[in-house]
Amino acid sequence: MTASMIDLERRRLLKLAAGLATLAALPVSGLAAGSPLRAATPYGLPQVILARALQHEGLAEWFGERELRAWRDPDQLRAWVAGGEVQLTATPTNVAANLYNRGVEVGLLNVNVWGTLGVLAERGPLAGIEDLAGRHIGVPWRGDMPDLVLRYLLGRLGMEVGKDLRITYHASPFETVQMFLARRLDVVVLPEPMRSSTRLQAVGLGLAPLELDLQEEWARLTGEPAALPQAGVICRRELLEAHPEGVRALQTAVAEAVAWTLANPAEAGRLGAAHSPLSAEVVEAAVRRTRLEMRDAPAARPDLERFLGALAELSPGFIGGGLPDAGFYLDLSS
Amino acid sequence: MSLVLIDAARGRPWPLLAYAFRPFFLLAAAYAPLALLPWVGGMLHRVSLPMGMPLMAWHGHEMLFGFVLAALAGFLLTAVPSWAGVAPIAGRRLAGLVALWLAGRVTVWLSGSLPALVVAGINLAFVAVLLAWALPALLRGEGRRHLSLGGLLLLYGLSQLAFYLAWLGWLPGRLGMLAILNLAANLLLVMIAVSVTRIVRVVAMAALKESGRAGPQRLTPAREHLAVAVLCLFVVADLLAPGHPVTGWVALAAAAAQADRLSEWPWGRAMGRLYLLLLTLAYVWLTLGLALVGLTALLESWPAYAGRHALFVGAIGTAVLAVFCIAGLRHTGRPLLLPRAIWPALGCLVLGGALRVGVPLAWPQHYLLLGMLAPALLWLAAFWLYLLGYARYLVTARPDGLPG
Repeated sequence: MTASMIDLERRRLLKLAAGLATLAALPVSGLAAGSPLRAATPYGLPQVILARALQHEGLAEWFGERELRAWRDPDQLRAWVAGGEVQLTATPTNVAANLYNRGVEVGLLNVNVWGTLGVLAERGPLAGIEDLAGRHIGVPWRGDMPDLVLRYLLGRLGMEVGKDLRITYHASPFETVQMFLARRLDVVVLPEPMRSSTRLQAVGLGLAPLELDLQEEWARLTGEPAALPQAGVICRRELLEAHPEGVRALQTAVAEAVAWTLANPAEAGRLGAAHSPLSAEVVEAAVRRTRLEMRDAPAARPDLERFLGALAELSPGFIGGGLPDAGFYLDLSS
Repeated sequence: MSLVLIDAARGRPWPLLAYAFRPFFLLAAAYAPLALLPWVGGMLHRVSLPMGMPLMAWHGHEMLFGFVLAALAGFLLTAVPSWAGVAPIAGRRLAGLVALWLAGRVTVWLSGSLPALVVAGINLAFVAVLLAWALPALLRGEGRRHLSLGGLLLLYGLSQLAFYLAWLGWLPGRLGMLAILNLAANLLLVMIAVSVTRIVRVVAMAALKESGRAGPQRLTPAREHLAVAVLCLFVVADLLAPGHPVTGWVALAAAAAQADRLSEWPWGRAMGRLYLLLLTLAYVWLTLGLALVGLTALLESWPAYAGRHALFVGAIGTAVLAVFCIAGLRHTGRPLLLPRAIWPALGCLVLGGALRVGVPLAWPQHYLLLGMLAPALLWLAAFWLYLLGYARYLVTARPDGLPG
């Protein structure tokens, strides 16, 4: 895969994360003493978690104005992070590894999203991945995380794309969703919150879509836990060097935000809706269907390496070459 | 109320309440796009209202038992007096009926917070009043010739009752709310086919005369009856076994019978007359929709709803606009010269129907925006353009000074 192709894949991935929305920059605290903190996030649960975390009062001691931007353009994000315009960002783990492997001075703080992928089917049976045989499946973007997880699981079962089932990729996830709602696809593979949004839309259209959790399928077919390290928070190294205590406070704030989101799905829905084009109902449903668990980077490393390693076998460009080295995992305990 | 509603100078009811088509056409046209708001808004995650029933059922209810029922009330309350020689409902009684329809809309919009029985009761009261007035009139004298429409209205009312029973979970058997809405819409198709028999001769003759062609247009009653009979057969088959291949073949037979009927209509310069074109396009949609329903039942690759959109948006939408336009002129004592705004209105309706039907088949990846949002906006434009052309006629007295 050429560098430009990798760029294309990454751009598509980031667009998925950012959805259809326009760039949004929202100050989450007033002016205060301390240096400003500029963070970025895709829409969905990472935004809810970071928006909540940045409101944490424990941060006031270290940071002044806190700003949370929503991603719009992947090149813009890379420019933000590489140029220091953004110091902290929530991101899918493969994008984080990609940035690191491409020499951007970032490190992983934590992984907090461990299960967001699901299958929606217009009709049954849908007891397992085997039931996808003979169906027409829509997947947003070839080589993206939903695609690679699906293809990995199909591979475990010895099912062949093109022979046992048909996969169609689209130029945007919104197209995949519309094809499914128009009943021109039997099945779609989507991450949250798109998965909940599509399910609710399908119910509105009088359909009763069936769901299959891909994390559970992963556990069934690999014998590993039903927890896939899919998204977390990265920060620029200079932020950690300048404010090690501040970054520790940030880590605590993210942990508390994850716990709060899990305990208050309805309020989390309202918070997500206030900062994005998603409805509160969708964000709340996404919270209830996502496995959220705060693990700091060193603790997440074994699972992350196993997960990214498995997917990179299908597409090395997915993480920008190879597994990131130890420098990627920020250890705040030292 | 009477002080407001009586035109003191002439001692007649206020023009808006002089005949039933006036308030009901006005309100139905204004409401047609509003009833789409929660549906399209909900689909795009832009509007989220607490509704007491599934979004699609709410949408179907409001289109059929809100918008179309108002149009139907306006049409029947205006036509039955001339068919059966009974006094029309006007003035205060008409105001009461309009208020009952409006109360129905309010209750359905608040269905998330009102008891279901209140919503059902108020909405059923409207159709019950309509039936209680129309059926006796159609059972005597000249009215009997039009009894079939009364019978269809009765079935329509019963399907509305069945809808509420299904909503409340009181309906035995396997019929769900959506299947009942399908039945109600199919009954409207039969009403269109039956009504067209009454209208098309007059309209075709007028169009031929205006376009300079002399001579009568021959329309064979047997072919007309065949078209209606096969359509009725389809309605029964669609109720008993929707999507079944046999129903598919019956739908294709019904489409063929409608096409046969259409072939007798004046397809020449006369078709340039907007009133004939409106009626014809409604019938073309009916034919096309039946053919698509038939094909989708026989072919796996097309979604089953494609034909329904042609029938509901295309045939019913255009038929309602045709009735609005033709009755709106005839009963306000004006020549059959449709206002210019109706040309773009019809264009919007045709394009909206084409997108609603065609996008899921040809460009399903643009379903929500091109297949739902754009047709909804075109639907809005069509009916509000009608209001632009006709609102003045509907709220002012007849130019010839006659009552009504």
